[in-house]
Amino acid sequence: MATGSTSTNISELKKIKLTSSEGTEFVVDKDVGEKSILLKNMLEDVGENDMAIPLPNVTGPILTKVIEYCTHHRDDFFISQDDDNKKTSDDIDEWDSEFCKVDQGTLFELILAANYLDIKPLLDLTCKTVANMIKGKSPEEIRKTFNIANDFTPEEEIQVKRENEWCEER
Amino acid sequence: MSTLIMISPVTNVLTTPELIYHIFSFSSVESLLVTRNVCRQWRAIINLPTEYAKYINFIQHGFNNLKEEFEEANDQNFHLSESIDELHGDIADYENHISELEAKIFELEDENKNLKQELSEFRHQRGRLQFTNNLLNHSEGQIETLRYQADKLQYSVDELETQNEWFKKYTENLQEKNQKLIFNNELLKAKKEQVREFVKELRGICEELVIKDEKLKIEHEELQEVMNEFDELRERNEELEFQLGKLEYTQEELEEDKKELKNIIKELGGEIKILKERLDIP
Repeated sequence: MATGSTSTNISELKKIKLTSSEGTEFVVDKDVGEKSILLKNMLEDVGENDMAIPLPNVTGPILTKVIEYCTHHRDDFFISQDDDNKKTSDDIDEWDSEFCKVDQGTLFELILAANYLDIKPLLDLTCKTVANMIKGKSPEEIRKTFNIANDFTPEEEIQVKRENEWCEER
Repeated sequence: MSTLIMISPVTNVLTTPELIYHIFSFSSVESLLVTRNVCRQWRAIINLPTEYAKYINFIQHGFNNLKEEFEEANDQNFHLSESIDELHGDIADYENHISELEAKIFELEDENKNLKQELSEFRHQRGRLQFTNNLLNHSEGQIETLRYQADKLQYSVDELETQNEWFKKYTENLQEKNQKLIFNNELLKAKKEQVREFVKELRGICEELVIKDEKLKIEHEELQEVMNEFDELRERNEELEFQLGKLEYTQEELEEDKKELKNIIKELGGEIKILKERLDIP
């Protein structure tokens, strides 16, 4: 980015090859691929090369979704939300919201892929979506939604009840 | 690594503390307090002393109540705003109505003023009419009196006419009697002449008829008595003529009175007409 617009134009023309866990090859613009910090670092380490970069933790359909996201946001400057005070799950734009309307497995796979590929905005988006799924639900509903087992001991259950007696009064 | 791939992506994410922490970083405090009661791992991630959690729940509960109350108050505020808007509309309508009523009151006051003026004029006219009415009543009284007088005069006229008729008849009788007396007088005159001639003859014969002188003296005395009667009759005739003249004069006077009364009646009729015309004033 520091090299200026000429460098960007050359970068736009270049393509990179990605291989999904099934071995499917994807050719994407370099600037799109570089939205992933992992790929960007790898490209910088390896240098210009025609070899496909293997992504064994990302399936083809998920890689397709990731590429779709990165292509849509190719011109965006990703601002990291490191300030905990500003973190909220309500600031999702319309396109991103539509993008996340997928089944639960795909959504969690996207989280894993974003985490693996180090695409912070995609990770934030998917985690916000999961946070929104948790919001407004009771512990039992959350367990049911995500198929989580209640592993509290009876003593811990009593403690939980004590903590929430105000809520139960409601 | 292979074991991780085998488990579902949901479980994979939800058992990775780094990812769970990232998800929870987008949750609100209220949501986190609920979330920490899902499982032991999440409770360990969202680690809070029980008393703190209890206190936060209490605060959250109060906050939720306040939030609900605020929302209710907000709703009420919205409805009140609507009501206020409606009331403002009503007030505007009422103000318009009031201004219309004020304009009407102004008009009515004007009308009232005019009516008062008209009323005072009517009162003035009524006073005038009452005065006229009183005058008329007075005039009617006068008219009644005059009528009564006229009736009386008419009665007098009628009586006088009756008397006049009677006097006419009486005069006619007297005239007849007078004519008879005149005739008798003439006859007596003729008789007197005859007697004179006869006396002459008798005087001529007196000597011849000395004997008859005494008889003639008696006759003479009788004739003298007739003459006296004749004088009396003449005097009576003169008296009757005087009375006739008097009656004629009385008749003329009565006719003049009648004419005067007619004139008075005429004048009264004129006055009545004028008074009637005055009564027709609106």
